[in-house]
Amino acid sequence: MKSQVQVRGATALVTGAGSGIGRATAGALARSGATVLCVDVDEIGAKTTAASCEDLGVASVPYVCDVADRAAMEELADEVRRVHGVLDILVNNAGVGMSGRFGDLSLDDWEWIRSINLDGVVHGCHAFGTAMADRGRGHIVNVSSGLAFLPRSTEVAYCTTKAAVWMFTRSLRADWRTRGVGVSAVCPGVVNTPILTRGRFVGPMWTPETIRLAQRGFGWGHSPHVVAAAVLDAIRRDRPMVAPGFESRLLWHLQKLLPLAVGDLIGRPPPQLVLRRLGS
Amino acid sequence: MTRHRRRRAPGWIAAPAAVVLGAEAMVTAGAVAGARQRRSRHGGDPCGPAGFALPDSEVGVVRTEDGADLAVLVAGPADGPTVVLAHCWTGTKETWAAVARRLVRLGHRVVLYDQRGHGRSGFGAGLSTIETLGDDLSVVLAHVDARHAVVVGHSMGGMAVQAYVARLRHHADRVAAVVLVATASRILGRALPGVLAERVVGDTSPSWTRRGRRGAFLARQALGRSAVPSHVAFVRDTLDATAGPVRVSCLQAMARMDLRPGLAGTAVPATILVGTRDLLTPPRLARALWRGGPGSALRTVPGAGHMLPLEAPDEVVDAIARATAAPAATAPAPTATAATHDTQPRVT
Repeated sequence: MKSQVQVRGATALVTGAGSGIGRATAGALARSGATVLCVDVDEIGAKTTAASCEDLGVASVPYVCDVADRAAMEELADEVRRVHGVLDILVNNAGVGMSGRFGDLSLDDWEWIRSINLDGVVHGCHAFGTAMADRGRGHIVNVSSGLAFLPRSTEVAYCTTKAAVWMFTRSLRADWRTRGVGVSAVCPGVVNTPILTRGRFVGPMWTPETIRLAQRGFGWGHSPHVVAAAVLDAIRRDRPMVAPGFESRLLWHLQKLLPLAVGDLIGRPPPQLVLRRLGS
Repeated sequence: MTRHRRRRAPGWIAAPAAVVLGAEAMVTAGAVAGARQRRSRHGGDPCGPAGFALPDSEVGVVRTEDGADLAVLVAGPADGPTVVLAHCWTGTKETWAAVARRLVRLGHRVVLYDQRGHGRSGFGAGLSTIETLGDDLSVVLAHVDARHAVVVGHSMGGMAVQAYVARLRHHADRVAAVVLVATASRILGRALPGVLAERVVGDTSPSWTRRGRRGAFLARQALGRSAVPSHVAFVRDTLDATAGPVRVSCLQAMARMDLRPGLAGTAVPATILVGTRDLLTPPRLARALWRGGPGSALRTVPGAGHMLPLEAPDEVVDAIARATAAPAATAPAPTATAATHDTQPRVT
């Protein structure tokens, strides 16, 4: 099915636009001729992205808003509707990372990551998507993760929220299919973004050395521009799911074929010996 | 018979594995081909359609003690926070065009100047050490009467900034913070062999930088993954436009310098930016760089090469905006959002 939404001239809103995938996506949308509303909890990041989009020749407005805050999101939606009308494109990108075994997690940690990664997406779809569905045209892209398909012993909370986003996206797509709104999930692999510098590391396995090691690993990840291109592809072709990065695509195909036990086996942490060798 | 059979992988593993691998190979091959197309379609020029156009501004000239006329340009609102941008070896102030336009949009007062011998600036009595460039920067700062400015240097400009900061004790109120973009404190610690420097780098007569594809190839080495043709042409053209003696003396000054001793104990906060694919000042040199005072940070830009102001203007602007927003020693405490971005990950 071809999407109802033309990117050129569209009004797009990107959450988490102040860095990483959000910034690259805002740039890609601006390059394609869309008006971009840059939402981020970080004011400087949002303003920088908006200035960059303006320099690319389109109108762009920064907004400071925490996607986890329901009231703030509704207020933002009212403001946006008043100034820019109903959105054509919504990219629910804002998300955070968390790494740690479940036993080391406090419930505050869990509420924090759930409120941003899952509730943030739901808030976005509710505040902006409903108006799109009422009008009968629009496209929503929710950023999930390749880890939505694979259990990981060390990222219990993160995998759970991203899998929830994946199922939410599928269900919403089924729901709004008849109402002219396309809903897509983007499940990227390892992408070099500030997700590790802003995320939380819980438990004794994370020392400054192991964190630095993980950051170096992410330094080899894909560029956020690869994900931005996938987001535009999802909008243009109304794709239910895109998985930028070969590792994410591999996980997607494997989870279709592997028995559950094998997935569990892959998700286990590497043996102590390997960890020690990596650390040295 | 039984031995023979045992050696083969059982069919129930082999068949799905072959299907998965085959499908994955096809999908990946298609994705690679698609990604090449996509990159050219969406990756585009990070500097945007305005390219190397400088923001509207007033242009002035300031003369240094040894008689070099430096072209200085001031753009943006007069009451905005001052940002001074120093360009790289064989660059010009146009190197900063994309960064400067974005900064002006964000309400900064942007000061650009051509280093001596580069662009529209004169060479004066020449140059033997990097400290001369630091003194030039000092003259520019005095000319625009900078107060609590953020001083940004790319590559050789970053070395000029470090040389300036090393002598900062006398006029500390001029500079609030520095941003060092793809630079180093020490490269060789000694001069390059004269033959190499003068015959190759200083050779402008047949213009080897323009000959065939060689100039473009050399310029390409300064750029990372997302290089676009206009950037390659810009780097080659500015290299070509810089006089031979200027190229040689600046290169030798950079090869010889060691700025670390002078910087020890200096308390100015520094943000250090480096591209992961930088071949000229690789991340190794950025990590070895002087770490600045409290509030300093090191940030890497994925896939970018040496020319960060062209390749990743957004990341450079982001770092500068954070440096101008960060409170000086006298200002109130930082807000939560401004402070958490670059600090070390939270360990609980």
